[in-house]
Amino acid sequence: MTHRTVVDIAAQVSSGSLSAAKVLEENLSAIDAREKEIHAFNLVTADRARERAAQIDADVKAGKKVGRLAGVTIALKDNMCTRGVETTCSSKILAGWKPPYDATVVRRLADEGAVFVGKTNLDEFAMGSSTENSAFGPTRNPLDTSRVPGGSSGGSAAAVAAGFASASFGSDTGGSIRQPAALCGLVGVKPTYGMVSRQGLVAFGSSLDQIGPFTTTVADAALLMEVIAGHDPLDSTSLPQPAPQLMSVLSQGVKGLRIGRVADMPEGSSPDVLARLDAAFDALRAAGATVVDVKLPSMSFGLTAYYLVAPAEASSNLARFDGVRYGLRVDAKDLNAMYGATRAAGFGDEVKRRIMLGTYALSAGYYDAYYGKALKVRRLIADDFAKAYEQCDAILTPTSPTVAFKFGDKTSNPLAMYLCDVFTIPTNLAGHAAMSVPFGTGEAGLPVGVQVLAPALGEPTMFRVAAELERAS
Amino acid sequence: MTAQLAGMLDHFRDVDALDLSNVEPLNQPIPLTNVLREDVEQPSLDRDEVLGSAPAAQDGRFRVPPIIGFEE
Repeated sequence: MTHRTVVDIAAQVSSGSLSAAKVLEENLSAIDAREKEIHAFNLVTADRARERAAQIDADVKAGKKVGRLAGVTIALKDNMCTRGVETTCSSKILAGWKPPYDATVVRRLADEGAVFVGKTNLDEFAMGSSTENSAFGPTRNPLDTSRVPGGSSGGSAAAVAAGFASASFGSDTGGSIRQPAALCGLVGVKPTYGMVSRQGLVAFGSSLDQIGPFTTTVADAALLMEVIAGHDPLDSTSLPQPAPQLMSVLSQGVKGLRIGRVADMPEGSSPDVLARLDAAFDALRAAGATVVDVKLPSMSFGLTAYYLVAPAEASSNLARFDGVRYGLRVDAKDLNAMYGATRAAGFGDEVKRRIMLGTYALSAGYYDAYYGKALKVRRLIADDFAKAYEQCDAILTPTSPTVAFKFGDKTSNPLAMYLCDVFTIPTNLAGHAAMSVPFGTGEAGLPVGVQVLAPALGEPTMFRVAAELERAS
Repeated sequence: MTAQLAGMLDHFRDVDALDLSNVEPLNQPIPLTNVLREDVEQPSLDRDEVLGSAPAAQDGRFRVPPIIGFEE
């Protein structure tokens, strides 16, 4: 099966040379063939999707104007609100909940003619790096089903890698789009904080979360970013900026760009991954970029800052799951007992671990020692990046220290799992732009992702570099 | 889980190596503050639809167990 790109589908469906129904049926047969084995979805919305595709085909036939994503099939991570369609965050505490509104991103995609095929599996409340923490069972990597797809947006990555949808969306708090994109051989984008609306995204770490696309090509990611980005009055952290123009920069090349190589990069990456990173620098140099050494001395402390800041914010955000307004309720004699019983039954181990860590880090006696210190480290990391970007336009690192790992490899040791995110976390803390681009293969023939980092609002430069890497791979 | 949490907190001591005495905390990455919208009426969510997904509702409100009166 050849994968249809977002750009091709949109062009062909709107011109009438391809029907939205045919595109959808191709995805649905792929789902029929492999979904049992992969488990990318918590819910497949085949009926709704068929109605939607038929409507788009009718509009095209009638000569009506259709959107920029006419007939493009899209899978949504199951932490984005979809009106009347179950949204669970892969948690028992939200099972069965049907949101009364659509997330802004969902609405913008629908307005441009996207066809939603379903809601994808994730680590519960997006807490994890392998999708093994889902309350509804793990997702398997379509490229090797003995291995994880990465996480937390593992279902979204697997859905595109398996041909279940032409593209998908995930959320990235510490690497949850970029790492699964790398492990599944896809392009994955974590936009600048505030560039894409978080309205309707179930919050995990509010100062870190961003929604972004998974695609098979850089151009597809650019088109989807143009549709979802831009100011949203419903999100008070939304930047007062229009969506960036990205499609038009893809052919500009990298001549004259300065690409940073982190001289003091945290250790622990496997040799196959480092070899691909070297090859990426060579490719950019051959295309006319210069490579400069930069230092990010605080990068290795990012993990500590993140695993205090994110749980602290999560412990506050997840307090809303109290058995009153939505989701699970476990009845008890009074209100406090009901809260406790509901949360004990509804949250999984990793979510409980992070809520406890977060409340501990925020508690009066330990605030300065943990949360307060983490915020200062966060400042150091942002300052490090600011200094580095005086010398370069973009920075290249591995996305993940290794290729996709096997099930169970890291589940017994939370710290080992957290180390998966060592290269992705610093960008979230600084609020900058980052993306993962597939760049060849490593151990066992599995894909390796190279991460392109750019300063806040540096998406145009980042996409130029990504497009060059795609041409060279 | 207690042992795991203790292990993590131990690991987080790595930042003690840094001199943070003159560093300002960074709460969030963008400089927006006090973002408010115009004070004009806007459509709100449908009440029945919202209450429809609650575990218990009665007379247009969320229904909860007793709040007081069951102390041991």
